[in-house]
Amino acid sequence: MASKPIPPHIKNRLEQIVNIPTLPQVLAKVIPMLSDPRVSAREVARIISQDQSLVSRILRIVNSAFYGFPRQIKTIDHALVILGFNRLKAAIFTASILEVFKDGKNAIGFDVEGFWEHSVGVGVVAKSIAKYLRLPNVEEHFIFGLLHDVGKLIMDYYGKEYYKTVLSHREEKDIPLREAEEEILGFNHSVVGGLVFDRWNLPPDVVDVVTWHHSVVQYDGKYLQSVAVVSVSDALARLVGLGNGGDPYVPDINKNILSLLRLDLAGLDYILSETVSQFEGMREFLDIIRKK
Amino acid sequence: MRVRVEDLKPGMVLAENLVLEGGNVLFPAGKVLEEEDIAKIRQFPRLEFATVEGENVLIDILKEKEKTAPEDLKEEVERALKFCCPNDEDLKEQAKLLAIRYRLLIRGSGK
Repeated sequence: MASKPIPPHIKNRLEQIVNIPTLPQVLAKVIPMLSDPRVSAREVARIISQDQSLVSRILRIVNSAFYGFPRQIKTIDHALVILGFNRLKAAIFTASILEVFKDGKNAIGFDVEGFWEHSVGVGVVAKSIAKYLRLPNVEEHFIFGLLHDVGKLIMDYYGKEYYKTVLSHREEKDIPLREAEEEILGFNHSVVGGLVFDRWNLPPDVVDVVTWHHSVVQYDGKYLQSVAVVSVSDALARLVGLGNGGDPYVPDINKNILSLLRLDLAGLDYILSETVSQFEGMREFLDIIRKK
Repeated sequence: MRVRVEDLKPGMVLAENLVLEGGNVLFPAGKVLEEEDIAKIRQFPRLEFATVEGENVLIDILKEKEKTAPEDLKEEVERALKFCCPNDEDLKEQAKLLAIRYRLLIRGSGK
């Protein structure tokens, strides 16, 4: 359960509009296991091996330049030994979420390719910020960034009648996508992503980061630092033009959020140079996403 | 102010010891960098940053980059920042300069 609930009137409206997808059986078992400290890595590996498509996607991710291992990793057990559970968890999460969207058909006008490019970009920036700030959960921040906008994809796949209107309204008024969503639907993609992830029993930190990344100043839950990291990462990825977040605009950057994270100009410059140096790995990661 | 090694220029003054990975000091704090010092620093690929004196050093470096940026890139960045930092001109200026630097870098690398 998320630590900060979505107001009921928004939840009701959202449920009328979006046909919330269910998780495939294996993923429904695996995802909650990933954040349960009582579950062993071996147990997770055993469940994953029931879905060969998931196994092959995880292996593609861990063998990519993004992880940078010179020797090929051939099995999930081998990946566990080489990467450790925490890094493997990030790959399993990523592969699992990609499995959900592999067969969907999107609305006309939504740039899915650019969407993933932006998401991977935000993941890489978030990981760089977490490393720079010496946060304990650096790998998780890649996941937070990668998934932060999944609500857009859910709207696009499972509420496409409405989303088409949102996209044309945005185009017509030349406003940020989030504003267009709020004007047409009364809520934005972050609420959609948060609600669906909560239903799927994703860990509360993921749910909160996804739900609140556009409204950090209103957030009073326990994952404030991670919510702030992803909010800044979204702005930085847009600042340098990584992918397509649904509109060409950099969101407002709040000075208080930068202060909270103790990020100054030199820090931002460092983080962006780190991000740019990871382009090769990002590109390979995107190829894995494209190979549905 | 911490700056990237590639941005070092003669006349900049080290604000902190420049230390190699093994712990040896390459140049001490207070050293006024000359052309040959910078060339020496660049021989160590793992040395990515140096801390130099001056509050506005990085802003000046970024403004230099802005001067060489093509007009279409500047317009693209201007448009991208339409909704960003409406009440904070300083932050908006910093965002603009970072956007130009890294968009230039990304364009230049063909990525």
